[in-house]
Amino acid sequence: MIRVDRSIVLQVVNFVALVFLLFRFLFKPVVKALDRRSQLIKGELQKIAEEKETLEKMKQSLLEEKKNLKEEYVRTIDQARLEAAKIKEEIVREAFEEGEKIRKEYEKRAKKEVEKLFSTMKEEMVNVAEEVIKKFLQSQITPEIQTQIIANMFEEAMKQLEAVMEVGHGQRND
Amino acid sequence: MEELFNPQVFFYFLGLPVTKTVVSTWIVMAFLVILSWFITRRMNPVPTRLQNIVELFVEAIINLIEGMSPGNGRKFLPLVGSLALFIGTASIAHLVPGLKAPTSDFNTAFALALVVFFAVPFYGIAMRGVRGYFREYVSPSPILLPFHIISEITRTFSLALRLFGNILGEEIIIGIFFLLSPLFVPIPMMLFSVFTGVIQAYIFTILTVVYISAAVEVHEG
Amino acid sequence: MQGEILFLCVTVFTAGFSIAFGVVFPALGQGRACAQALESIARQPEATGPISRTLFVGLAMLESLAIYVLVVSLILLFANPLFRYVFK
Repeated sequence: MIRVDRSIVLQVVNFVALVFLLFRFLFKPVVKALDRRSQLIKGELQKIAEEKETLEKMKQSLLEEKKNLKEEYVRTIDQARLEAAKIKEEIVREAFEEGEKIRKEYEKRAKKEVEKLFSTMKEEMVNVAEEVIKKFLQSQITPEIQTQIIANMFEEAMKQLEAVMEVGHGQRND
Repeated sequence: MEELFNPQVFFYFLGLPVTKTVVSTWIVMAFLVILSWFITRRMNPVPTRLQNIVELFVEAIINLIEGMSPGNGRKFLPLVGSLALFIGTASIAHLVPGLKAPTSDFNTAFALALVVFFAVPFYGIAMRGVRGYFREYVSPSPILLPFHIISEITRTFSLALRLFGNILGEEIIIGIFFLLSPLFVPIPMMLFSVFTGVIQAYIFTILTVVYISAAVEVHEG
Repeated sequence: MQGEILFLCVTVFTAGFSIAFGVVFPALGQGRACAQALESIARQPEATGPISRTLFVGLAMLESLAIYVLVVSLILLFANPLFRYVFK
């Protein structure tokens, strides 16, 4: 049993043959498949890294675009604000001018009125003077009374004038 | 019982006796080669179940070698992987009716140990050169040369005897159980023999790796 | 005939005795090795791989001692080369 006979030669040959057969049919294909898979995985990883990079770039560009858009937005809004301010100014100016025009018109009208009043006043004064002269001529009145009368008349005329003037002022202030 | 120790000789091939052991070895070899051909016939990048098992085995062997001799996993893979696969299969072949476990014949065990015995200097010379390899025998001093040689020879015998003794012991125990009670009783022992076979394959493989990696190891100075 | 029976008796006795005693010491050694390895693994669970690998190699070495005994006793029982001289 523990005797070594010549079948040991056969067994050695058998085992060496088995090593070669297994190398041909088992180890070579399996190692090749493992290598191929690791190659494949490496390639995939590389591809993924590249894709990641492009995505990163895209993100960067998108972010930049966003920033630009924001800037543009801010600029547009500022511009719009400026424009709005201009328009506001214009409107205010126009309104002011209108007001001015209206005021001027009223002033003109008031002046005309005043002038008319002045002219009527003048006529009246002339009339009064005439009357005074008439009365003076008709009845001999003392010079004191005369002056009194003239003063009274004048004062009245002045009061009237003042009233008219005041009316004109009030209209201008509107 | 007699059959266990002196396997039947079927015929002579070139004057060499073709015993039952040799025929069992052929059957085991055919089984392994056909199975591996069947599995590796179409290797997919996405592995199927059988392919996964094979890949797992190959990777385990490569890792085993890399753990003791880094960088040489691919070089030793054919020999070491074949040893593991053949011993593992051959040690449980006696569970198949009509077959004899080839490793329970001292011829097979000694043949395997002889292959390792010659593979060690083969790899050592291939990787370190003739001078580099044989310098190991006279280091640290030439007095140790006989001891190195004796250790090489005894460890070869030890490898062969360990494998052969374990498997044969298992076979004898199963045989005795069969003689006592052929039904059901030997089954636990048969299961245990599977365990023993796989363990022996592992030990033979790991010792081979240890010997070979010691031979190819480059010492500084 | 007396001498031959004595030879057989001694052979069988030696075979059984060598198994009985030859197995004790490797068993003790293996037990020690296993215990130490388990302790180491319990202390350092992350080193399980190298420890168990070394343990297996060491156990194989110890096991081979017991296997030598087994082989010797098997030779004595089944393939005794001295049978030829005793039983002519």
